[in-house]
Amino acid sequence: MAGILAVATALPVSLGIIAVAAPAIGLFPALGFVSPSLEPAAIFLSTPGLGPAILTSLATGFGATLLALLFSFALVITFESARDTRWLRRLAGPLIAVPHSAVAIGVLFLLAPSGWLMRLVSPGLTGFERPPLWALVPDGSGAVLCLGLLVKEVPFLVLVSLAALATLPVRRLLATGMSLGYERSASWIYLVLPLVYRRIRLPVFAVLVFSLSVVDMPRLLGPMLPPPLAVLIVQGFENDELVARLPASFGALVQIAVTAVSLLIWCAGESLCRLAMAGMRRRGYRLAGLQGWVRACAAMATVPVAIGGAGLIAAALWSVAGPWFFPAALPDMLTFRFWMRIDSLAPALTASLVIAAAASCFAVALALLAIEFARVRGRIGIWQIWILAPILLPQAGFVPGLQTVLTMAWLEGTWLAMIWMHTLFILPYAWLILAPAADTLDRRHDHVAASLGAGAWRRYRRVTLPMLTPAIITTLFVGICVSVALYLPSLFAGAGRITTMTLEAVALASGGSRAMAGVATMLQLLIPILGFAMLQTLHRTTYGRFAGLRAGGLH
Amino acid sequence: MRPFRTVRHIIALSMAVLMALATTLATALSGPALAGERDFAQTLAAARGQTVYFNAWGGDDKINDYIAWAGEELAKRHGITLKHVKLSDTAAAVSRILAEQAAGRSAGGSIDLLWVNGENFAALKQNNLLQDTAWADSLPSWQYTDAESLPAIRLDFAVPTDGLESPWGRAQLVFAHDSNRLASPPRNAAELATYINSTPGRFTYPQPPDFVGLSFLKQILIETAEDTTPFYQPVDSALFDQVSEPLWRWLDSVTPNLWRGGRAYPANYPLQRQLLADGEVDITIAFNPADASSAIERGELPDSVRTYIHDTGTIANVHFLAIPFNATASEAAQVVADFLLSPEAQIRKADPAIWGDPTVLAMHRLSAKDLAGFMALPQGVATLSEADLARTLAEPHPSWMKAIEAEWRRRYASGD
Repeated sequence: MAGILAVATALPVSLGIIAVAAPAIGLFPALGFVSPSLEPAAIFLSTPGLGPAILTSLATGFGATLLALLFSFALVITFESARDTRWLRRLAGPLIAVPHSAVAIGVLFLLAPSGWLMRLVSPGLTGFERPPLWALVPDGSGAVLCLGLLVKEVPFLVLVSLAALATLPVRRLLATGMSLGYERSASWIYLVLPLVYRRIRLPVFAVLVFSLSVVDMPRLLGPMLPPPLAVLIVQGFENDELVARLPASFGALVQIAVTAVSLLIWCAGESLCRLAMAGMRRRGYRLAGLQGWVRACAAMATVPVAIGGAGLIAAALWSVAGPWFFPAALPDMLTFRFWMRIDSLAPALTASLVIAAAASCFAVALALLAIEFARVRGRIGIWQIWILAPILLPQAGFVPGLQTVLTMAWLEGTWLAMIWMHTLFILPYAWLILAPAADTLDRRHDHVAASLGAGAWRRYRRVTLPMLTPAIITTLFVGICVSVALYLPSLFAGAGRITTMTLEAVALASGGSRAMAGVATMLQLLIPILGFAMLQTLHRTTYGRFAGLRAGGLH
Repeated sequence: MRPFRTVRHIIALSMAVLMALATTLATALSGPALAGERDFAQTLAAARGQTVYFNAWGGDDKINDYIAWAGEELAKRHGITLKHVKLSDTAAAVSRILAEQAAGRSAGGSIDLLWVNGENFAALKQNNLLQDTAWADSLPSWQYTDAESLPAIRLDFAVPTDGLESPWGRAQLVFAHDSNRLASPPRNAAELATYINSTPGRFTYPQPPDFVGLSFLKQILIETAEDTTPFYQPVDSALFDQVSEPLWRWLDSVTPNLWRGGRAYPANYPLQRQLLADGEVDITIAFNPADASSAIERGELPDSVRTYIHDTGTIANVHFLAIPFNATASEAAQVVADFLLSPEAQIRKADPAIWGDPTVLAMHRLSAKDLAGFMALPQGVATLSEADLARTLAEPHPSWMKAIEAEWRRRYASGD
């Protein structure tokens, strides 16, 4: 089992890092660079705008993560208090299914100076006969990028928080807090949220790392000059000047370093928060009047979500728009002309479906394997780090190296490589969902089955697996969503031979074809929606009657 | 950083010369037409059943549709499967071929045919990343071209093609403006600068390294320079600052008044075309004279848009199809290149309703029927006549592209 895990996770990630580390220190035998040199480092460090690029990455990374955490906690408190999180789940579930690039396309279509929002209010309210000279998108500050990230990260953190809450005695904790004279929201903050946070630390880290190194969103939303660090690095790898790969490789190491430092800073921040909380608790601060703030935050959390939703409507509108010039609020006429050309997107759609389905299944299988491995061994130790590595490492840091490895193995652009790459990125989420679910299983069922004479495999199949099914279904759904959204890994592993809906949508949106980009965005959404519908039906028909099995499921 | 290059360069060059000599000799001895036809029959036979991964910039729907049409025809006629790998930047394909070479993958490469020209071709050729024998001028369709009337089919940005790439289409830098908003557009670099500074925020160009953006910079470089001869030789770094100084002075004077104050640029020309359609900018730039007409036809530009060029003439070049050294289906790739160069495919490509890319074929070499086919093509409402387009400027040596890109990056890429 250890061998399978090693080949599936530790090997590719470490090879990927080696394959960027070598050129970074001037070793690239194929190009004739055989002795270590500091030149790649020097070249990369003299990249124009490197400083601002790193600052932008840090700002969007920390900004998006902090706000996402704040917003998602506010939402959870508000809706848990209303004793109905079903509604929240129903909203958050589909939202995490929307790929990042689709969100970015929507935001672009909505907020650009000639975007839908401006068209709706022009010239009536603004008097603009042509788009204004100032602009929200693409912006130089990274604020819009942050907004786009929030559309995705808030629902994600809401869902993991709800999953964590399901394992906590929330009512008792709140009752304790309130019996000591604290308001409800103060009880949440003092007693429940620290426990929730401890359980969702890894997803939060993943959000931080992703926000620090996202590539597809800034390509559409800015900032452009200079772009965030990760975009700068990927540009280096795409440069036709072949030696540009060496400094770009050094850039990948810089990205890893920036990420590592950011995680350290975050951890330091956690300690500070813990100390502050402990102090406040000891002194018995009542945190009175917090309710209003929480409500306000929850209300604010709806802003990015509303913008994301409206953006998707704008994309849908563009997909059926005939000629549509500023400042018309709506297209002159609707046409299905662009949907008729869907066949040009069919290969990408099929590829996305196949890859998402296969990779999710593999990831679930591997995660279950790892869980059994951990149970048998008693602990999982170092393996957990390898399983989680793909989401704790910045993609731009090791994916280009993985491409070199794939090329050397003649696997570049094959289905195997593509599915494996996607599995690599789904596995961490599978682990994060399935491992806690397996932990909370009541092992006494297993013992009863054993005492009835069932063998190990039979017990696993008939007792453990059915109990894990709701969590497995969730994992499959999350896996599909992760797979559909993957941009950089698909770009590098697909080698142009296998293209996915996300690659097509980004290419179309950055190529100036709004109508086809609209169609591609809609198709991008179709995949997780299909997955959601299928898995939900499966869940309902199979396990809907067992009330106790619902925890950790889609509903 | 690259001492090895000189040696490899010399080897490549001498090999190319030897090869050219050998092929000339061979064709002279065996009778050109006969040998060519026999060889191509073999190529056709080998090509049947092969799959060609055609890596071509995929940012324009009408081009993608045209390639899809070619794929259907090739499947029908020659049993070849054409897979269009849509690139957002041709440089990505070049670096992929490099990565394959680096990995020692000398056969079974992932790219069979590449749409390329200029700096990318120069990079491929310099690093021996292309087929090692000349193939382009032995294609049957080559007979319809005339290198004397269009020297650019043998000279890609001042770099000899040596038969390593087959011409596909012609391009010329053109500007387009909305005649409703801007009645008489600026006709040279100086007028353009005046225009930009008097109407802030309404002009931009695609962000380098985009090739249209860089071509625009080269256009200004040539227009503002006193002596253009240095541009047709490799960049002399000692003289670069001095020779390019007028360009940077021009850019420094206009950048604060560009769209978004020069702190953001459209990533490519379709995006800039969209900005013109949206009314965000007044002028767009394209490398295809029929671009505006076909965009009007598709409803992507208002029908008041018109094309114009600068009085000095504008940069013109030819774009090509090349086969990497490790192509898996090199025979089928040649058949594809031959089909795309055939009068039938070229007529269709020149149709503004389909793509509107000017042909590389020589009219006087065509049959009466094919000539009639070209003559019958509709002229788009916004397309300039051949006579108006006759004023052209030759592409500078590709090293200028690199040098300008690097300097542009240094000066403007940090957004200050």
